[in-house]
Amino acid sequence: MVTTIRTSSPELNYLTPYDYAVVDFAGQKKEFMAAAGENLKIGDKVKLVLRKKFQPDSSSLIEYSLKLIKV
Amino acid sequence: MKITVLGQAITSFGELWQKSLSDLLVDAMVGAIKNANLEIKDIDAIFVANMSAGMAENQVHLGALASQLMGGNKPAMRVEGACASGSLAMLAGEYSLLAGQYKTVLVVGVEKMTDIDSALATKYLSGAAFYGQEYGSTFPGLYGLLAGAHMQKYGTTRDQLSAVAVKNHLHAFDNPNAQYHKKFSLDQISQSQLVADPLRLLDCSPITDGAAAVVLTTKEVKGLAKINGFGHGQDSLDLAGRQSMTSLEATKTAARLAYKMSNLSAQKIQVAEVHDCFTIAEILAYEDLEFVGAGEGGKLVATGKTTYGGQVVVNPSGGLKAGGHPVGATGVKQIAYLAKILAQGQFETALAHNVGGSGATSVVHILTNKHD
Repeated sequence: MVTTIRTSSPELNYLTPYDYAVVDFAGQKKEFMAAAGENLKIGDKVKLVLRKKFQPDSSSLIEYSLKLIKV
Repeated sequence: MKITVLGQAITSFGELWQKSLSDLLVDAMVGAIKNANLEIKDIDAIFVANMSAGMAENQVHLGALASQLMGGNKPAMRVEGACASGSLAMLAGEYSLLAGQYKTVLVVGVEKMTDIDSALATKYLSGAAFYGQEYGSTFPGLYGLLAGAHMQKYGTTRDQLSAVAVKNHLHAFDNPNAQYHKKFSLDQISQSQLVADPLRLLDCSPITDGAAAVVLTTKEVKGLAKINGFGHGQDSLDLAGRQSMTSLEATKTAARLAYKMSNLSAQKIQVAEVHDCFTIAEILAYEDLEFVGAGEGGKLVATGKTTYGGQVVVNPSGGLKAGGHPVGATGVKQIAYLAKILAQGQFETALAHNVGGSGATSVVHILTNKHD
């Protein structure tokens, strides 16, 4: 399943709209954000890539997480 | 089981900028005690439901705060289960009465969320999801996924979602404390701004300040509502850990337990306050509470079966959608509202349904004004 999030928390609002999906990994379900600019729909094949969680300010740690892109 | 709702109070729900968290607590607690014709000395303990005061107000230790505000140093504790905090606090109070620890307790739910901007409120509310496993989700997003799944599997339509909102906004005109007294058409709901596809702004319950309180006692009092049964269901915190994306197993468990304890079936329920945090949540509730079969919830509301004159009156207060959703107060407000209308004799048997997060926690209460 996939939804497009159009309003989010302060650190993620600059990325909206972004997609958020439940992905079936060979029978096990997990949820992930899509990478910026990705437009997902049900049935798309996807893979996980490492991306910045959000844009940090100049003094913060840069945090990374797994996000989805279409294969 | 003999637990009577001896008194109740609900504050106005809305953007209450002139009221602090403490003001709301006092208004609800004093109101409920007065409604019960009691004084604070008659209360054995206080149970406080709240989700976000630690973040939004930098105020935790709410049990101690409530106890100090009421005077008398009554033993008090805070209970938290996201949006199910209120009904979990009810359970805590009920367990203490059934265990014989206390005879009369005060349960109060409170939330103050409108002093922060909506992006921050969104962030704090998202703490009710599984932060590590659901990073980037929002509550409209999680329920958007549930809505999309239900629409795909059962053909639930945009208009059926909108019918929930239209109905609850009409019902709210009977509730003077509701956040909104505003009528909407199906088209206005369906064409409001997208928030998390397919959910639109008017599919979503608002950010709200408010409080509600009830006094529970082991004394049976004819004419007043009594708690006939309750059930607590649990499921995985993250959506991906669930067996189904088109029903909430926690609600099904809670309902089964409550029906069994009260020796009643869904067909006997005449009025219900259910957890319509989003319009899809009410449709899921109809099915999970066994008012109708799987996939039939959309048709139930669209054909007028969940309003006056129908099969069961759902959300006569306006629900969360039109009544408002001060998170910690909602579960207590549901009990308070139903107890009030049962005591007025409008109905005999009622059900309250309160959900935490995207369905990880669910509590169902059944109330009646019939006494043996």
